[in-house]
Amino acid sequence: MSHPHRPGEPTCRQVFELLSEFVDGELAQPEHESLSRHLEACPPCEEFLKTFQVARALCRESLLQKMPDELKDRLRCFLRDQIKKI
Amino acid sequence: MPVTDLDTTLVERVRGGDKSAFEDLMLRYEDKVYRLAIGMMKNREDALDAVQDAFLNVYRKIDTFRGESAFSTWLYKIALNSVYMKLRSRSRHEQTESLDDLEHILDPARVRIQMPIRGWSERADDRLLRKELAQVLREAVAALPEEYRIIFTLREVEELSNQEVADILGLSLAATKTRLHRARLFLRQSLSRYLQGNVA
Ligand SMILES: [Zn+2]
Repeated sequence: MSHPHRPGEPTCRQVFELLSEFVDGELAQPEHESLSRHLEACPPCEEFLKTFQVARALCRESLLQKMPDELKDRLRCFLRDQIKKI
Repeated sequence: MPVTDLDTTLVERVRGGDKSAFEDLMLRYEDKVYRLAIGMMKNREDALDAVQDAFLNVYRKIDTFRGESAFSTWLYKIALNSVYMKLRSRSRHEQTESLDDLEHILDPARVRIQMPIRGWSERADDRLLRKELAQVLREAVAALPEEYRIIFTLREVEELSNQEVADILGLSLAATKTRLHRARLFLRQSLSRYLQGNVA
């Protein structure tokens, strides 16, 4: 948190709090731009953003599993059987 | 054909008694519903139970789908319901996480922002390390309180919009975004701790 804070520009804390909206593209344009400026000028925040994105990508990668085939077969058996009764 | 139109066509066919159309719907959604269930229940048999229950309810209730929301939103709601029913039915046997501790960790206002002294974003590209990190993250996701984990899964893994997630969970958009942000910060922090503790 060493970046000198200029009036009207976001602080590191504010950047930290708005990061999700920033990466999701949900900030109004002026806000988005002032965050971008801060990130360009503040290496710790820039690195924080990078690691924030790396964590997201790795999470997605590690959680994006498929249902195992054996369970899919059992799901189908179960439903065919149940639906007959309806 | 756009996703929603295909869903609508399949729903119409199921209503007309076409069972193969229901199997097509299952093919489209079984992995998604399974990921939701396994993320919340943590073991395969319980997850399968919830997925079976979810699809059976979708079949039974298909006439009540009015097309006011996307079919996927409707289906996720049913699936979540099945997951929560199963969770509740066995919750007596399990100690849930201490929510206070996690709320504390997850509250950005209380977090002392620890900026990386030395960057680790490049180190995370290391192929061998990635496997290890995937495990660290799976554990971190599992440590999230349920209401954060579900938002995180729907948003980051299934890539639904914040509005869809809010609709599915019956939450305000603001609450959805806040929890999502906290979950993301928590997961980043878990990764950071691991990597910085791992630096020689
Ligand atoms: Zn900064």
